[in-house]
Amino acid sequence: MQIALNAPMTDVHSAVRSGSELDDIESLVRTYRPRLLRFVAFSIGDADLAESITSDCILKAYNSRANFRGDCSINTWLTSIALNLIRDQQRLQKFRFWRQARATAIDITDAASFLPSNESSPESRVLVKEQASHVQAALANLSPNQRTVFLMRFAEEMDLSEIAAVTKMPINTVKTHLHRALKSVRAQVAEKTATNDRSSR
Amino acid sequence: MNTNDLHLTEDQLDDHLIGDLAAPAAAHLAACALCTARVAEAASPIASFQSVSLAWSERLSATAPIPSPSASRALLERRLVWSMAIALCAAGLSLTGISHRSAAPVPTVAASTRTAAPTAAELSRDNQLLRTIDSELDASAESPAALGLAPVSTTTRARAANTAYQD
Repeated sequence: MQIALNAPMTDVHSAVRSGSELDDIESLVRTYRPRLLRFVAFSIGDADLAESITSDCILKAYNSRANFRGDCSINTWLTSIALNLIRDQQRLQKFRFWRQARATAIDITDAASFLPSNESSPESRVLVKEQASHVQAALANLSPNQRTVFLMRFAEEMDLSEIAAVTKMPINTVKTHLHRALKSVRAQVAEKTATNDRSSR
Repeated sequence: MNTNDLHLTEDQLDDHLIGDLAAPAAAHLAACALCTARVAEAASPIASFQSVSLAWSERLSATAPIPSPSASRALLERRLVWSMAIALCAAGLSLTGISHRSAAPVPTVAASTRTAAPTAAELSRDNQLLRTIDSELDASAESPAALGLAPVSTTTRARAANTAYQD
């Protein structure tokens, strides 16, 4: 069974798109911005900076659309551009200590109320919200590489080979990072859930 | 006991989530309700994170302005112009610094602005003026005699000493 990843975005993974999609910046923004923003935001943990990097990423992709060869999906191509921008930012961040203090925290708990209803009960909404915030907290404790591959696999739903190509890591290294990340996230989520259960009794 | 009868280990569960589960374990999973439930339980927080985080980013993106490629090009051009201007200024400053260091102090006053050497007539006029000033200063100087003071002589000094001794 595959995990139920019911992202509302439509068909961003359909293999190769026509280049014409890249010619329309509005459609590019409408289709890909939310996923890109999520990837960037949870990679760096700063909502404001993530918005700026995402806009840069879309502009960069639009301006260099002639270089898109179509050998991967547009989403994968955009993610690789975003990853380069994130790495640049992380290199820069080492010298900008004040930025750490000014980082705009990501608060996704409100977003749970905007989820499509799907006939879900208030209890299940609370559970979804709680689980999401536990995973978000666990992500903060991963190494940058672990976080990147985790987000690519479980948020962007990229294949192992795609992740290896974008991160320029051997596929076995990707698997190792993913195993460690997943183990860490599952352990932290289980611990937090147990703590919540104990305190609610 | 057939390997297909063994339930998935935690590592195999992770393998499945990662998308790297070996065929025999996948075959077991397809037939085992218990392992299917375990997989669903493990995947649930990740699926929750995926949907909530996407709802969050969609909400933010709904109000985000469409980036304008022309604005970015204009920004790029402005940056290019500014960087060229800065480079030119830096080059100019460094050239000035080099010329200041290397060149000997050369008088740069133009010939037309240079002061001409004084002529003999001018010199005699200046000397005459200085002599007039000297004589006027001598005439107006207050001498000790004019102030009622006699110049101190040796006889006066001896007289004053005798008077003091007699007292």
